[in-house]
Amino acid sequence: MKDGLLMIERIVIESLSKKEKNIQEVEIDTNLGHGLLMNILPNLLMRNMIKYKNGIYSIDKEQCFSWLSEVNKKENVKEEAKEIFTSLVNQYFKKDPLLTPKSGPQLKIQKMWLTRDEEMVLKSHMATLEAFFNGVKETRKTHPQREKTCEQRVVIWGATCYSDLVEGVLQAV
Amino acid sequence: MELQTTILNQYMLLNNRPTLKRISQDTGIQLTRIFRLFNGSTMKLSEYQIFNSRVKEKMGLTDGLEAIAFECSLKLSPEAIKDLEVFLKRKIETWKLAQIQKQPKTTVLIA
Repeated sequence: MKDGLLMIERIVIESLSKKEKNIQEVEIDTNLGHGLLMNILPNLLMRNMIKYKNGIYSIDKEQCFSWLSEVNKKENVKEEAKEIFTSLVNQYFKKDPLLTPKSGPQLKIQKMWLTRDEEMVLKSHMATLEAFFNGVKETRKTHPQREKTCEQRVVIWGATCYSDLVEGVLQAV
Repeated sequence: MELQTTILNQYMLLNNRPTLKRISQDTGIQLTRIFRLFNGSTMKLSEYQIFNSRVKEKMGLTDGLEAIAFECSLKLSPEAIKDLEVFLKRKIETWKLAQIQKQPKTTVLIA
């Protein structure tokens, strides 16, 4: 993409932002094929997002302020979020029947009326969930587990009013 | 005129050479007008569009990407069109990156 990042580009950037790597290491960390990386990496090089020296790829820290603001623009982040959501929905509906519910993709959508008190309980649960994720991330900073970038779990959550969703659909045409 | 001839030929071919009466019923164009069109009278744009849509229907192109994209471009708001453009652009960019580069074959030279 000219300005934003595709998910397959984002995972490479995330991988290199943890540590500089050669192509084999990027391959292992992202689980992307060699051929695909041979297309993505030169593309990121041309956009001055990464550097290449003696077989090692790294984030171009001198240039990163110029492209980070562009990549993290609201419109670009919105497109990336849509791509993640679409991919999750697609994964869920083509779920392999052999996979156990725990290992396969999970997607839950609930609609319900909530009293003011129940709304508070929901907000509290969501805050607890967020605090849990932030806690895990903090722990990983001090006790890295040598996890691969591709093995991260992606969790999406959120809540809104049904009528706002309907309104959004009507406004988007 | 060339476009007119092409579309009439396509229509006749796809509908197994129907009678003028049958064409009139199918297109909603008057029988005498159909007769004149098939005898070289210049077609109006609206008539061309009718024949064109019938041909596309017959070819199963009514709900194809091209047709739906055209309809969207005519009817949806600029914001909605931009949304679709970005969606399609991201799809094609991902596809382009996913095209595996062909590795040059190494040849062994024998002296």
